Amino acid sequence: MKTSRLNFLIAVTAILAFGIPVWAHHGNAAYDDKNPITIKGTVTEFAWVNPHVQIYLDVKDDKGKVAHWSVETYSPGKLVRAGWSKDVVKPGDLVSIILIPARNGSPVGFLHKMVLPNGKELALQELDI
Amino acid sequence: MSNPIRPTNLCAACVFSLLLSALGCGGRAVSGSSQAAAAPPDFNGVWSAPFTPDLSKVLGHQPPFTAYGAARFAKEDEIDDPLTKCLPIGPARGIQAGIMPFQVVQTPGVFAILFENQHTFRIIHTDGRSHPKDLDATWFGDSIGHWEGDTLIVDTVGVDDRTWLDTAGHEHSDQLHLAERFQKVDNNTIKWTVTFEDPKFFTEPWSVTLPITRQNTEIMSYSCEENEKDRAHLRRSKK
Repeated sequence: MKTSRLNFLIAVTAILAFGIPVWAHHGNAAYDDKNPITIKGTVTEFAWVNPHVQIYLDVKDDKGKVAHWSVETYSPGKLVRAGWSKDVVKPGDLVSIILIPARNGSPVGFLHKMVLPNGKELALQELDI
Repeated sequence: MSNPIRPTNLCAACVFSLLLSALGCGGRAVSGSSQAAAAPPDFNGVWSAPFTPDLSKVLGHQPPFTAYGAARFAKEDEIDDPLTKCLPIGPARGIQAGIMPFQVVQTPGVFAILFENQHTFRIIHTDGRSHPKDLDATWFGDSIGHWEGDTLIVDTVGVDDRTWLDTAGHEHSDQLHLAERFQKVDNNTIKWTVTFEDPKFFTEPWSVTLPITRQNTEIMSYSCEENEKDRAHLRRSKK
């Protein structure tokens, strides 16, 4: 490998390792980014769309009451680089989601990580280039 | 890894480029060097930069602001981001933002960059023209480019000063001059270097380099105005 190309790839790896905050996202003031929570429920809809992919799920509490959660995250273009695809979940799947919830207490959040029925974890960090 | 250059291959290349120039093709006069008539690399395809919301994180520090530039940056607020109003992303941020990919369609006279972000595009003229004398500012500016070996060199002026350079709120004036280099490193990697020059905002030009990687996807649809309900709720932050 040419030295110049090797140097460039090293520089790139360094840039990606700087820990650019994954959730440096415009408009996140509505979410409580200091207190992430985990919810577990059944997917009712998975919208693989721009500008934000959305997952809707029914979460049952210990009294049996169902809350309808709306969870958003990044665009498909960014998520594919983190290993997502439009087929990762479908209605009926039981998933766990780590999210930062809406400050006003409504069942709305911004996703940081999702655990699929088979145990696979999907996060937001880009995988190796 | 690389094939040793055999005398027969060299001769064949020379003959071929002489033939091309005799036929009036090739675009450039053969000056005796076998490099002169080499075709530019092929950039066609779908590409993306890594997610880069803040150029100062790539630079390692804030850009060299003038007093005016620093004062503008201190007052920046998300409510003023053109993207929150569904206005265009601009020529450099469209590449570097990394939230949505873009497709390159390359012809001899035009290098077109089609952004998934709001179905917008840049046209880089590679037919040898200069910037027009009377230039009105536009959302993606006026871009002219030429090839140097494996690199496309692009010059852009006339960018509307309402675009932002990134999501962190680095802005520019109508004096912005962008110099870009798109270097094909291998079939799946472009080394993109962009230099920002704007004497109103920055005391000197500054550059960042990012890798652009080939994506195994098609570009998708995006209508910013569709189902838009949140803009009415945006409030200016207290600073």
